[in-house]
Order: sequence, then C-alpha cells, then structure tokens
Amino acid sequence: MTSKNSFWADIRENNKRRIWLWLVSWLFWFFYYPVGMLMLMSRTKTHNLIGELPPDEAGQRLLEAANEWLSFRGVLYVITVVAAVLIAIQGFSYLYKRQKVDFYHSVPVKKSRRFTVIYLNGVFIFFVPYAVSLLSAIAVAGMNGALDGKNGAAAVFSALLSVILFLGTYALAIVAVMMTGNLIITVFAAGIFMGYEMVVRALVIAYRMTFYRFYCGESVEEPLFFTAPVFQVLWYEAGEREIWSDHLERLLVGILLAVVYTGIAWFCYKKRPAEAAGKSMAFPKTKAVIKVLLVVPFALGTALLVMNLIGDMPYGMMVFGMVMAVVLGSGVIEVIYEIDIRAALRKKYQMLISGAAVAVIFLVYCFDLTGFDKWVPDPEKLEDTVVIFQDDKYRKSYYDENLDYTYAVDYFLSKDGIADTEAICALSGKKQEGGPIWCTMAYRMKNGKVVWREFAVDSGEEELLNRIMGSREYREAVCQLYDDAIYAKMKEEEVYSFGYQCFWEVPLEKEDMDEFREAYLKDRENADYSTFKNELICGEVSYRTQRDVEDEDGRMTTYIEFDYDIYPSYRNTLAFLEEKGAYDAGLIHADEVESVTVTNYHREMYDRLEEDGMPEDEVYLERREETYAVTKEFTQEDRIEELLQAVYPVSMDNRWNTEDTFSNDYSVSVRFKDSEKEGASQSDSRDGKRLELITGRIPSWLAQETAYQ
Amino acid sequence: MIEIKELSKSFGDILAVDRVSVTVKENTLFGLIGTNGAGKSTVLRMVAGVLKADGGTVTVDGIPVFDHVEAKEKIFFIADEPYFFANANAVEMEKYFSTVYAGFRREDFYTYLENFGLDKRRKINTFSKGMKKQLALLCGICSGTEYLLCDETFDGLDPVMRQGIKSIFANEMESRGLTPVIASHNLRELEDICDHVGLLHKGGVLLSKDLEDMKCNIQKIQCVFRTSEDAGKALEGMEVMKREERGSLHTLTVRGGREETIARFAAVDTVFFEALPLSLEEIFISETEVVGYDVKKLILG
Repeated sequence: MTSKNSFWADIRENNKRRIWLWLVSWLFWFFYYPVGMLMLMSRTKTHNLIGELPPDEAGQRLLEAANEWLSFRGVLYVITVVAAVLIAIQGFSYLYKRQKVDFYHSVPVKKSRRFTVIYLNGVFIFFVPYAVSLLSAIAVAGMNGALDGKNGAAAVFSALLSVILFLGTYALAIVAVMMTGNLIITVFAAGIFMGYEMVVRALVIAYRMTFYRFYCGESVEEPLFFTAPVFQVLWYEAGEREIWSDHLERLLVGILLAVVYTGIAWFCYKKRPAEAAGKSMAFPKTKAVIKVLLVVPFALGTALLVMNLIGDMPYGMMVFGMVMAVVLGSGVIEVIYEIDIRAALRKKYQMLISGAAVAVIFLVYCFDLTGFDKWVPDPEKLEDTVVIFQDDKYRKSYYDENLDYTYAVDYFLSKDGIADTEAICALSGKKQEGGPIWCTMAYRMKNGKVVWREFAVDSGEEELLNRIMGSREYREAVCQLYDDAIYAKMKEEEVYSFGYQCFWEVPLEKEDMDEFREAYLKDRENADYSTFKNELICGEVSYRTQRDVEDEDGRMTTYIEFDYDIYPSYRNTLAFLEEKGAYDAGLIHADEVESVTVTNYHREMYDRLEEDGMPEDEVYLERREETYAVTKEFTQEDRIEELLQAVYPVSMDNRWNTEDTFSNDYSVSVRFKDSEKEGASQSDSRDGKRLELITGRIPSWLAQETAYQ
Repeated sequence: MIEIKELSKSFGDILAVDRVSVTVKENTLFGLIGTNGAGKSTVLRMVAGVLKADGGTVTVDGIPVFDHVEAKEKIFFIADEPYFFANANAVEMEKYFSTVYAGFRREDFYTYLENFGLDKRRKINTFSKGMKKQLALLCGICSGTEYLLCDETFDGLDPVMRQGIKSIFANEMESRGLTPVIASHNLRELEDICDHVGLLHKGGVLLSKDLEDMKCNIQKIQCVFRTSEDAGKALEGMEVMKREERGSLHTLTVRGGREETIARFAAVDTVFFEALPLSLEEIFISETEVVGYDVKKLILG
C-alpha cells in the first residue's frame, strides 16, 4: 500500500533535493528586485539632485527610473532563459544515472505524479522568489513615490512575459533532457532546440539571396510563431513596450507553445526507456533523423561560408566544402552518439542520406529548380500589387494617421495595390537583374498569399510605367497629401515650417495649406512616369513639425517632414506659388550674384592615364588629389546669367531621370553680393545649396575657359 | 506470487534476457543465480518495474508491474549499487521511504540501525560499501512490502552481517510472509537460505526448481560391486546422470528418491555402499550437465 501522503508532501520531499536552487533563486531575485530598486531610487535621488527639482519633475524622474527597473529588460530575458534550462536539467537529471533511475522508478510513485512534482517544483523555484521579490520592489517603489498605474502595468506585463518565456523554455529544456542521456548532450540539445529554427530560417534567406536574382528581402516577415519560446518573446524586448493588444496573439502563441512543449515533455518522459541513462540519446530511433537534420544545414552553411571566403561562385570548392561538412558533421555526431572516436565513420548510409539531401537542396537553389526567378504572376490569379519604387522607398518618409513614422514598405502595404494586373504582369515579364529603375513588387494573390520580387526595369518601358505610376492607387500611396486623416493631423499639429524651396526656402502661411493641397492634388492627377522622367523638379513644398518623444535613450526631438516635388507641368501649384510670391523668391537671380565659381574636374584625364597603363592605385591617388581639376571664377554678368541657366540644386536631382541630365564633370558655387544671402548659402546644413550643371544647358565656352593646360 | 513469462529484453543488438519464465511463490526465498552478464539484474529491474520488457510479462500477484503502482507497492528493489540522496543520512532516507511506502516500519528501522551499529545521523556517503548495503537492506526489510528484490546485495557483507540479515529474512518470512528474491553470482552464498533457485545463463533460464525437490530427487552413491552383473542389475532402469569409476569404486549420481535408491542397491551384492550428501553446486552441475552445459565454469568461476 502506498503512502497516503499528500501531493505537497511529495513536493516537500523533492524540494529537499533542490535546496541549492531555491537558495540561488531567492538570492538573485532579492538582490535584483527589492535591493536593486532601493539602490536605484537612492541613486536617482542623489545623482539627479531630486530635492532641488520641482516636485512634479522629481516625481516624474523617479517614476521613469522605477518603470525601467520594473519593465521586462534584456537582463531579465537572459536570466529567465538560463534559469529555465538550469532548473529543467537539475530537476530531471536523475534520468542520467542508472542508480537513480533504479531508485526512483522502482518506488510506487506514478510517473505522472513524479513528473508533475518535479515540473511544478521547478516552476515554484523560479516564480515564488520572483513574485515575492517583484512585489517587494513594487512596495519599495511605492514608498519612494515611484509607483503609478503605468509602472504597475509594466510590472504585471513583465511578470507575464517572464512566465511565458520561462514556461516555454523550461518545457523545451525538459524535452532536451528527455531526449538525451547526459548533461553535455542535454545542453547541446537545448541549444539546438532553441536555435535550430533561426539557423534554418537564416540559411533559407541566405540561399535565396545568393541564388535567386529577383529575391526580395522585404518578403522576410517576422513570423507570428517561432518554435523556440526564446524567440517568441524576443520580439517584445526589441519591439514596442506599450501596446498590449498588439502583442496579444503572440502572447497567446507563447502560452500555447509552453503547453505544447510541456505535453511533449510529458510524452517523452512517459516513453523514455530507463536504459537510456548515461547514453547520449534516449530514443535510438531519433538518432538518424537528428543527425541528418543537423548535418544538412551545417553542410549548406559551409558552402555559403566557402563562397564568402573565396568570393564569386567557386562551385568546386563549395561542393568540396559540403562533402567535408557532411563527413565531418556525421562523424562528430556519431562519435557523440557512441562516445567512441572509432565510431566516426560508421553508419555510412546516414552520411549518404545527408549528402543526398544537401545535394538536392543545393541544386534546387543553384539551378532555380522551383522557377523562382522565372515566375511571373498570372493576371487571373492576381488580386492587386503593391509597387514600391526604390526612389519612393528611400527618398521620402512615411507616417501614419497619428504622424508616427512608418516604414515605407509597411505604409505601402497598408494602401490599395495597383489594380491594373495586366500592366503589372507585363512589366514583371520584362524584369532584369540590373537597370535604372528598381522596384519591389508585393503581388497580392487572390488566394490571400503575398509573393515578393525585386527587380529592375528599363526606363524605356514608359507605357507600362505610365499605367502604373499614373494610376490612382500609386498616386494615393506615394503622395500622403491624399490621405484625409493624415492631412487633418498635419493641420492639428503646431507647424515648425511650411514653405517652398528651390535655391532658397520661402515660408508660406499655414492658412495656405488647403489651397496648396487643392492645387497640388489637381496637378498630381495628371502626373505619371513620363512627367517624372522628362521634367526636372522645379522645387518642393515642404511641411515640417516637431515632437518630443521618449525612448530608451531618453527624450529627444524628432521632425516629421513631408516634401512635395513640383514639376514644371504642375501649373496649378506653380500658379499658387507665384500668387504667394514664393516661386520667384526661391530662385537665384543674376543681379544678386557676385560671382559663380566652376570647377572642371577633367575626369577624362584619369581615364586616359589608365589607358596609358598607369597602375590602378596610382590613378586612384591622382583622382583623390584632383590633379587635373581647373577652377575658375566668373564675375561677368552675361556669363553669370548663362551659368545660372544651367545651375541646379543637387537636392532636387530627380532619380527618375536616368539620362545624363546632369554633368559629373563640374561643380559650381555661387557667391552673393548680399552678405545675408551669402551667409544663408553657407549656413544651410542640408545639401540644398550644393549645385550641379544641367548637361544640356552648359555654355559652350565653359569647356574652353576651364581647359587643362 | 511473481510470475515471469517468456520475458525478453534487448539493449541495442545485445539480447540480455531471452524468453525467461520463472515463478516465485509467496513466502519462499528465491535465489536467482548466474554469471556476470547472465541477465540477473535485467530480470530484477524488469520485475521491479524499472525496465520495460520487449516481450513477455511480469506480474506480481496478477498485476503487471511496469507502470503499475499497485504492483510496485508490493515490491522493494535494492539495486546492485543502491542509491541514496546526496548528503543524506539514514533518517532522511527513512523520511523519504515513509512518504512512499505507507507500511514503512520506522521503529523497527531505527532498532535495526542500532543493532547493526549504523549511525542514523552519519552521512551515508561516508559509509563503506558494506554499510550502504546493510542500510539498503534495512530500508527494504522495513518498507513493509511483500517482495524484496536484492541484486547482488550480499556481496560485500561480512559473514556475521550476512548471517544477521539472513536471520532477519527468516523472521520476516515467518512473521509476515516476506518473499525475498536474491540475485547472486555466488551459489554458495545462497545454498543455506534459498528455497527455490533459478539459474540464468546467457539470458535464458537453465533450470528453476525447489531446492528440496532437487536434493531429494538426486542421489550420490559410492559403492563397490561384487560382480559386474551386480552393477548391471543395480543400475538397470535407473537414470544415471553421472558415472565415475576408479578401479572398482563407482561414484554415481542418479535420479530418484533416497529410500528407493538405497533399496535398489541393497538388493544387489555390494562390497561397499554409501549414499553421500549433495551440495547445491553438485546438484546444479549434474542437472546442467544433463542439458549440455559445462556449468562448473558458470557458477564456480
């Protein structure tokens, strides 16, 4: 007859053998939370001279300090993961020793009860000291006036994340214990369980980037679901801290993972043979599978490493590297399995299976057997397409309706995609590896799938590009002035600056915003690729506001900026600017210029040196020294006038114009008669005053005047 | 009753136990003997419910053992290297076993500890190997279980202790019907206490019999026949398991009851006749030689 002692008596008995863990846990959390908080409060008061600050500000500083300490932080993340692995191994490590297994498994205690007792004790060891210490820290914060709802919520959220991270990692580490037979292999296994998914994901991305010409990095989405709890929670540490609801799904997935892994751990515990004690692997049938699963990514990774070390695409060396990796990887794993160095070359069929798998995967990528690069969407299956041109992606900033910064791709994805599927498919069929116009395509298929590609197209595809860039969807996506919510928010904000900018920045009135918007949107209706390609921007209207934001590094001022390019065909906008007197004021007039200085770099001379056989590095030095540069200052009024016709601000250099519209040979600087303007031209921190010359307007005499003697 | 039927167990490619069938009756002392690697420990670990059999069944009073607490409640297993908690003393072990075995006899345990001169507060890891085995045996005896499985437990015990334990076994068997199962590679150790013996070799059972049955059914005779006709007449129809002749002296191991055998030899004319006592070793040697094993190598080393 078994003892009728309670479950808690079992817990108590188990705890007797885990006293050192309890002690470590209590000591750590005690010093981390209440003692740490006490020291933090004291330091904040002393270092910040809180006593000399107004009460509100002093309180705020203490609240901020306490919030930082109570929130889920990196150190907490690391400690939780380490603790979970340590407690799991310590709890179930009896399975490593035959003596202990004989002892525990022969006594009349149900497996389920033993598992539950050890499992729960592990949880208690972590959480009882944690919770008590956290509450003590909250109390300390409260006593120092550093506790409010926000801090309380931060503490609760931190505890919740710790619970999820701990339970998931703890269960996964128990699975590692169950599947292995000694401590070293368990630690390896735990590491592999936690990192394997990320390694495979990284390898897949690396292979796609290496072998697929039209692979798009934007297609890598952070998945909702990571198999390893350490990554399931990592998003939080790296991401936003405030918005619980945004993370609810992830939290639930984290809880689900913990439940699933606990189930797997229990299943493995139930099925684990007692004779596994001391062996490397508890379940012999898993040996081959695990070996192949480890060797294949190792070999594929080796191939990439060889490629990166040697450069280019050394297929022979890559294959050699893969073969070596398969042999070495299989050998090492077999040695670990058998704990016998002579086992290295046993189980050759497993090496062959691994090698075959590596070869198949490598060939699939190398020869694009899945047809990744050839793929062009079927217009019938395509719902719409989000098109993001490189110029739109990098030249502008995008904001949401709260004027919070949004990554361009996310912003575009939130807008309507281009519905002209025929044009999209036709353009996709003309994709090329390099070219003047780069675009990222997110094909949203009718089945809900999103397919990404990134490629270049020739600037000669004017008709197709016009259909896309002249579409309503493109206009509304790329020009945020269309968005009523954003515009309303812009008007709500206190404007830092609103004005027209060409050579000079000319302020406009905030009250003029509606009029500008109306004119600009009217012009924008008729703009398409041909407009951007064939016309030169003749200025931009910019809107700026500023905000004080707070992040981990403290408070800082951030600018929110919208720029609207203006082309000569934007007649309504230009009329508006002229009416406000801004257009003319933005230009440089010859009568206000003292001199124009032009430097001709004579780049053709360096090419000639190369042709004459001068070593590359010497030519490089010559270029750097600008040996052949000729600089000349022009003060004559007619020459100034002619030069000003050709001068153009670099900041407005239009990326859509892929011809040699601007000369690379010359740089220009202007000196003004008016000292105020001269000062303004020197002081501008932006590159708005950097000037270049429009190729077609360079005066014929300039080359001669700046010839190299 | 422990019933082992067609029990098999392999460790990888090694067949450790091969279709073993043995029955251990209640209130008998069962000796499981065999050489190192014969499979004794594996059989005991399966009986204790530690190992899962690949084939066959083990039941204790009709209940399968593996994963059945009801069966394990009836068993206390002392492994060849008994385990004690790190830094624990006898008191702590008693406390643990008291939570696991409801029938654990605490008072008896401490009395035995005192009688055996074991300090209850001394850390067990400072005990000698023999002292640890004594402690394990005392824990097992006081656990109150019906069956006590001892794997090589008597190895390392000095003769006095061995006798002490044996007498405790005898008392326990008499008072509460304890059924000890003792695995050992040393036949002589078991001879004077076992009621029933099973011999394991290379994973299989060579034989399993009651010691008394074996002793009563095999006779060792030394005699000198008057004539060869007398010899033929005496041995006619008798199962002779072993026969040696040194000059006219015949040494015979024959199967049959003592009275019946003596009567047979009395009926013929002998110059000298004597029925000799048989040791357990000799019985085993005779029995196993019959089935073709050179058991001397197995059990005497």
